Amino acid sequence: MATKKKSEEHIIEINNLKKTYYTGDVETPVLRGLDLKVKDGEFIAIMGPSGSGKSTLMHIMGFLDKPTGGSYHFEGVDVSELSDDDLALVRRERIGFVFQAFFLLPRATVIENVMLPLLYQKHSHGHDMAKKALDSVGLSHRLDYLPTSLSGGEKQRTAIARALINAPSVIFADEPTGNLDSKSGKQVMNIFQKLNEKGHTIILVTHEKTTAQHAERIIHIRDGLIESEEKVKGRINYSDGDELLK
Amino acid sequence: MIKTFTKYLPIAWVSIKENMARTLLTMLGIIIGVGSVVLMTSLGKGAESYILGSVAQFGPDVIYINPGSPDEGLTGSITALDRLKYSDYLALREVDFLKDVTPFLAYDAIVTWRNETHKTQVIGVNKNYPSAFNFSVASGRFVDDNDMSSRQRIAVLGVKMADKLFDNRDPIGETIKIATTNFKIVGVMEEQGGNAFEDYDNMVFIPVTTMQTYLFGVDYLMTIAARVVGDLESGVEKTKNVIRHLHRIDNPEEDPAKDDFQIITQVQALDIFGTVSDVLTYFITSIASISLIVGGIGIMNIMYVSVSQRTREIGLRKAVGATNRDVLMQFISEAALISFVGGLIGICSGIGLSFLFYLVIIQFEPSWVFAINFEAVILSSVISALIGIFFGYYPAKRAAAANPIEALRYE
Repeated sequence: MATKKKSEEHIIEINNLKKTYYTGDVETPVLRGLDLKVKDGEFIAIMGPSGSGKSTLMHIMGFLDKPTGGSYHFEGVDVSELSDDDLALVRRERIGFVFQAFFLLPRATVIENVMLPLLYQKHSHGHDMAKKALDSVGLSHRLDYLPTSLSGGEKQRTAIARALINAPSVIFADEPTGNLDSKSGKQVMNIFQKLNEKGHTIILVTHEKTTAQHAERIIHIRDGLIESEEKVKGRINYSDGDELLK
Repeated sequence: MIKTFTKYLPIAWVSIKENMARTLLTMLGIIIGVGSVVLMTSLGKGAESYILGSVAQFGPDVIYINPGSPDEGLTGSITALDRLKYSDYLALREVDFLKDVTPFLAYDAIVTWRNETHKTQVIGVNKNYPSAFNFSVASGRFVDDNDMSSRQRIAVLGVKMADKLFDNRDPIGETIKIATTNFKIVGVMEEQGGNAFEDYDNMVFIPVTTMQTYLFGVDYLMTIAARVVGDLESGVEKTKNVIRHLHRIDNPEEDPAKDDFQIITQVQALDIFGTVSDVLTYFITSIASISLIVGGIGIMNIMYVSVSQRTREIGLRKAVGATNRDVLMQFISEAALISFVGGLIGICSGIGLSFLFYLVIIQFEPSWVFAINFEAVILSSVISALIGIFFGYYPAKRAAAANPIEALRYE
C-alpha cells in the first residue's frame, strides 16, 4: 500500500446531485441531493439495497446518464456543460465499464470483443493493445475463443480487458461478481485491486459486503442519499502470493 | 464520405458476422432483384445484338425497295403489292449508282422429291443474290443470266433443305417438284445461317422470271434489293427519282405520301429495332426494379428487428464510447453493406444465369449472342447500395436515439 501513488486531487466531485424520473405526472426522485468526492487513484465501493439509487449514481458518474440537479465535476470539468458527443468522448477515452452481465458480443472472438472500444477511435496498434490488455487479466491464451466457450470468470476478465484497452482513468464496475462463483469472483476482485495499484481509480457498485471489503472506502446509499461511509478496516487483499497476475 | 464508410465497415462486418443466417435471408430480396435486372437486361441486350446482327448481316450499303408508300406501313400494303414491276428492276440494273440489283419474289410452297415432302419458302432471285448478300454456292452453280432470260426451271437448294430432301446423296442433276412444276437442281448453297426472321438454309432459290411465269403468273416483284455505290443518301435519292420517273409520279416536294414505293435502308432498320429493344429493356427493368424495392423493404424490416434485438449491444457500444452518429453510421453501413454484397451476389448469379440461358438458347438459335449489359450491372450495384442506405436510415436512426442505460437494461 505504501508504494501506491496517491493524488490528493479529486477526480470526481459531486455536489447536491439530484436525479428524478418523470413518468407522466408522477415524479420518482432517485437521487435526492448527494455529495461525493473521489480521489484520483482511489478504490471505492458503493453499497446499498436495490432501489437505493446506487446504479443511477454510477451511471451518472459514468456519463451514461445526466443528473436533473446539482453539479458533477470530472477532472475539474463541469459535466453539465458537455454535449452528448463530448460525453461519448469522455466514456471512450477516460472511462471503462464492467457489467454484471458481461455484455460480450457472442459471435465476436475474445480479442475482437476487447478491441470493440477501439472501433470508435483511430488506432493502428489495436491488436497489440488488446493482447496486452488480455495478458494483464491472464487471458492471453484465449484470444481467438468465442465468449460462449469461456467460463463466467473468463468472460468477466474479457470484459475487464475491454474496459482497460483505452487506459481509462476510472473503471466503473457494476456488480462485477454478481454472476460468478466465489473463486472466479475472487480472481476478478484481485484484478481490480491490481489495476488500482497501477493507478486506475476503481468505483465498484455492489450489494455484497465481502466484495465491498476489497475497496479502500465504502459508501452506503439509501433512498438516494449517502447514509454513511467507512474506511475499510481489514481490507481483503490477495496480492500476496497470488500468481494469477504478473 | 468514402472514408467515413471505411471506418464503419469493419464494425458493420462484425455485426453481419454475428447474424450470418439472418443477413443472408435479408440479402435474398436484393439478390433476386439485382439478379433479375442483370439477367433481363443481358437477355435483352443479347436479343438486341441478335436482331441487329441479323439486320446488319448484309452490310450497311444494302437498300430494299418495297411497294407501297411509307404511309401504308413498313412493308407496303396488300393493295400496293403489284406496284413494283419487273421493268423497274431492269431499269435500275442499268444505273451506275447501284450494283448487285436483285429482284425478289417469295412464297411458301410444297417441295417434293420422291417420297420426301417439305413445306418451305421458295425465293425468286437473279444471279446477283449471292454477291448482294455475301452468300456463296457450295457445289454446282447459282441462277445465271441465261436461266433468267429463258425462264429455266432450275433450282438451287439451301444446305438444310438439300439434307432434308436428299440425305447424303448428291442432289445436283436431280429433279424436284415445287408445287406441281418440275425443277432441275443445279446447285447447293453454303451454310448461310439464319437470323431472327429467316432461315436461309431451308430456302429454295429459283430464277425470278421462272417464278413469275410458272408459279405466280404475275409481272410484279415483292422487293428489289441493291447495294448503293458511293454515298448512301444520294444513292437513295437518285433511286427514288428513277422509280418516280418510271411510275410517272410528279413529286418534286418529296412528299412520301405521293410515292407508291418506299426505300428502306439498314440504318432505318437498325433504328427501328434499336427503339423496340430499348422499350423492351426499360419495360423489363422496371418490372425487375419492383423486386429491388421489395428487397429494400425487406432490409428495412430486418434492420428494425435487428435494432430491437441488439438493443443491449447498442447500449454497450454507447457505454464504450460510441456517439449517436457512430451508431447511426454503423447501422446504415450495415444495411448498405448487406445490400451491396447482396447486389454483388445478384450480379454474379444474374451473369451466371444469363450464360445458362445462352447455352440453352444456342441449341435453338445458333447465332444468338451472349451479352452482358454493363450499364445495368454498374447501375444495379450502385442502386442496391443506395437502397441499403435509404431503407437502413430509419432503423439506424432509432438505434442511434436509444438511451444507453435503458438499452443496457433491455432484456
